[in-house]
Amino acid sequence: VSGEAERTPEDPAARAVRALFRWPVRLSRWLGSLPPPRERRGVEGPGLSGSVNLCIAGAGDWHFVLRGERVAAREGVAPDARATIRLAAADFVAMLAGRLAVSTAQMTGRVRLSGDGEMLFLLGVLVTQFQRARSAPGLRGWPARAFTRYVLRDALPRPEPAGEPR
Amino acid sequence: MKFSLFYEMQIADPTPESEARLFRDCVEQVELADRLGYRGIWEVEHHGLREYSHSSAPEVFLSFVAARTRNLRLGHGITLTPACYNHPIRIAERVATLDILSGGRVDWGSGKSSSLTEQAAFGADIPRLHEQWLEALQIVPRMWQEEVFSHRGRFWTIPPTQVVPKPVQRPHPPIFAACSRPDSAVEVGRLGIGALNFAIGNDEYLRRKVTEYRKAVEAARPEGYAKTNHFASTPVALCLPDDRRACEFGMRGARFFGESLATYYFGGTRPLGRLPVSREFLAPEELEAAMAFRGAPDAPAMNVVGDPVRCREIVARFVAAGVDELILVMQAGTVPHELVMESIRTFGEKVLPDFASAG
Repeated sequence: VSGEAERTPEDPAARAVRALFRWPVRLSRWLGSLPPPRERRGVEGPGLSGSVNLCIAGAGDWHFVLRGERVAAREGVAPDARATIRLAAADFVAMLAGRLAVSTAQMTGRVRLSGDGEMLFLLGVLVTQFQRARSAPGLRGWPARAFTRYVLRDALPRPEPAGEPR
Repeated sequence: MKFSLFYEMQIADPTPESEARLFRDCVEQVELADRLGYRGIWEVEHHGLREYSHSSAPEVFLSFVAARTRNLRLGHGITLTPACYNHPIRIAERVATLDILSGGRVDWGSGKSSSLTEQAAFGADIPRLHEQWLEALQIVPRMWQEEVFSHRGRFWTIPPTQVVPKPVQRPHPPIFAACSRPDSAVEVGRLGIGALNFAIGNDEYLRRKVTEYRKAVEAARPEGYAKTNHFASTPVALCLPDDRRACEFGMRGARFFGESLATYYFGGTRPLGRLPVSREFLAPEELEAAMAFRGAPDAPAMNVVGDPVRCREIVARFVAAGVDELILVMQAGTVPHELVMESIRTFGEKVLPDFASAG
């Protein structure tokens, strides 16, 4: 599985990945990092630290820098990353859409990991946060729901038009 | 290589009845393991991690099985040592009592807790957990050895006190700590204590952890307690005569175990109620892929799942990495008791003897 060499910008899954990471990367550049989840604000707990690469075949390479409660998203790979996670864009989107569990992908070899195995949990966190955003309740959850719809807009199969029952 | 069993006391969709049955089933499993020559069991301490771990009073379970077994080592894997969970004197007393009653069969693992669920429930001073663990680790072994113990530390001040009883193992029960990354394995090695390591990652990563741990532990000169040079790894396991059946149930169990662990430890929340994790069997095509991937060169050696031939192959990879003990997680939340029993028996009769002389 490789990243840049197989890039196909027209691929809906690749477009979804780029749509997902575009704003986190920009926000990280402007703010230094992404705001932490509300539950962990003010907590310097024994979480993960260091960098992890996410190489998504057909959709580019990304990395995340973890410092205490803070996470920053960046484009490209970090040479000093503690782990590198490799997977296909279509599988990543299937995870975001709730059709493929991270654990299943790992067991079946659709996700490959080198380095610190614990960093694989970061992928699970990413997917869980996205799924939580998809079902964020009420008016306050609308921006999150809209963002996830935008990310997955071309990646999910469209419902078939209603027709005569066969 | 030595083989033990790991107990989180996992249970999917518990009811009061199934939860009570779980504890009785686990006793039966441990009795079988004792008869088959397993080295021991390791019992966790967690609080409020519904479905993932119902083992909140491990000292009670270990005492109970001490009376029902003859040879098994009884491991605390681990006791939570920060101030909010257990006072060090109570830890020293309980472990010593269990050591006496079991005839010197206790291994003592210690740790600090890293789940927001239990940290918040006990009002843990989260930034100080690591320092509290270190201080407790220094003083508990002294309590076991000194006639009159006193201590003035950062978190505990104890006037001259006779901590009784004393353990029967001399100078004290072997000491271990939980670790999962190379840097934490090195820290545990530097302290001169045994490493209890979750099996996450590929063979090379595991080998690096073991190597770095060995270097650190060999150079360690612990003061106040005896050195333990021992590296244990904790894979999910299910060994049945039929490879496909083992994979069906074992991989479902591994998925439940991994996802529920991730939910409590990396979810950033304090989940309540039914965990949002996979409980169903893998789809047939996924199962085929997972079975095939077990033998791939970069497949992580984290699940000892399959028939005895497959299990021997996977265990050999842990041996090659330099691991001393495999603490097998057969009791995963979705694996029925009858299959856990069959797995303990199959592994104990068909796999364990092949490696018993390697350690």
